[in-house]
Amino acid sequence: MLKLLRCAGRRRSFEAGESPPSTIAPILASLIVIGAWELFARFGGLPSYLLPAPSAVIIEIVREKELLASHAWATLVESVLGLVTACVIGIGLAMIIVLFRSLGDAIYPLLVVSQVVPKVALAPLMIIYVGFGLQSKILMVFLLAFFPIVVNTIMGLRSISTDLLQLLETMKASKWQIMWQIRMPNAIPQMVEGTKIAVTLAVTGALVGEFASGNEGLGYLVLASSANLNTLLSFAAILILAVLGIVLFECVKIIGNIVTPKPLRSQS
Amino acid sequence: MTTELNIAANARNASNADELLSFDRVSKVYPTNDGAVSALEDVNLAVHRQQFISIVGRSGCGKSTLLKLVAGLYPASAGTISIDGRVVTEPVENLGMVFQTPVLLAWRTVLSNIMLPVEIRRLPDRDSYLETARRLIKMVGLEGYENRFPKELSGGMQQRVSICRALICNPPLLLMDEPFGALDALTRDEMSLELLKLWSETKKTILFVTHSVEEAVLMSDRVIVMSPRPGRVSLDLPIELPRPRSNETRYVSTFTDYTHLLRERIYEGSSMTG
Repeated sequence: MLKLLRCAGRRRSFEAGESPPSTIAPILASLIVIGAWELFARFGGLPSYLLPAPSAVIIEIVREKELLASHAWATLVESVLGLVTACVIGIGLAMIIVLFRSLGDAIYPLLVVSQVVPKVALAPLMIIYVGFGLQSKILMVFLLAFFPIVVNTIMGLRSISTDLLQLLETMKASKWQIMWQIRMPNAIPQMVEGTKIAVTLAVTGALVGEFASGNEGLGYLVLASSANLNTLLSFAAILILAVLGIVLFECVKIIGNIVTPKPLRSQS
Repeated sequence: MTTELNIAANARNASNADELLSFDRVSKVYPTNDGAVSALEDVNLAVHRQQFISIVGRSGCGKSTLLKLVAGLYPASAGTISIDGRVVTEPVENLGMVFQTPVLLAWRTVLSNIMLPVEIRRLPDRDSYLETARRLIKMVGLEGYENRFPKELSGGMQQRVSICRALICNPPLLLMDEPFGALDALTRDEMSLELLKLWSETKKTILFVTHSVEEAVLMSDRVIVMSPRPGRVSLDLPIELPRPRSNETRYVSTFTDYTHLLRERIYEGSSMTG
């Protein structure tokens, strides 16, 4: 019982961001899952074209590394360009919404409604509007990624105490001064959090774009290889996609840490 | 319209060289969902230069409203407030404000937090203000902490920084809204004496809102007692204890007489006498 209590106490301190999480447990868990998969694929009686073993997937990645790399590059470019667009437009829109209250009140509900529309359904329309090329993918990434950035940035820009605003009023601070010197730096941590959510959606957006049209990218590769019942290559592409997602997420984390002023970082 | 003008003219006439701040029949009514709530009613007050005035009273007596009216953050519903003979109609620019929380910017160092008003107001001669900032930092005993960030400082030290920020542009008037309310009792005593020292060195006029009767008597030239709902001045008590005051002042018998009298007035008409 005492042990259990101590355990609960430790979990709480971890949630407060005090002690780093243990790395052994998740690695162990992953190894068990992969091991089970390997055993099941080899001895489970399923044909290998239905469920290839992890080891076979790795071998396939090494064998097809050039093909995978070129398609991964295409997906990476689409995701990054779309994400950057989402950041620029998202943060700009959030600033406008906070700066001009009545305009913000008018735009915000529209923004929410735009999120209720399943954006995946818009992919074929994107092709009609901007063509089969890179633009349609960037647009798809943007549509999926910009909402969390806008919402988080607005929250960050608005989290200024009344006392501080009144103090600034006695300094005759202009709207723009308050925006650039107070609200923006104050909102950086939330912008980074929004972008972290957005980056995972960005890869999904790129995939949806590739599913809809085009002949490059990992999404295209998954689609094409599955059509040929080449599940081995499909799995290889999916694994690379997962790695791509993790790498992009880590990049956002690192860049976020660089742009966040030191005293605002959650863990220094 | 004419009456308003007359009141303004009267306020101007009433101000003489020695008077910095005056309230002339000031009322403040807030509209709420349950109808209008009167926060201040018919407040008349004159504050002389370099005076230390405390305002005490129970919650809801309009103490904070009073300060915000002086700062020009809200308009008065009736009557006029004038600073230096000028009627307050918009946020007053050169004014020091200190709140219960230090409201420092986490990403700025101590020195650049203190320099914020200079930057926002785009004042010329930045270097001389930097010099002033360093002098203030030294005055409040924060030497060596210029380049630290607020979260590296204790609550008392953060509040010292916010007092320096309030003083950087050398305003004649300092408004303090329970500045030591969030500090522990020992730090609070220490800060009161430090503020007294700062006040005697800088010759500011201070309007100090507090919940602590002892703090008010220890520091002030005058203590104003306000009664709640609607907020009115119920007592304006001059404190004639000798200066400079120290912790010893608390043990003078007249000190206790003053606190006793003030408490009696604060709790007048309620069951909580004593």
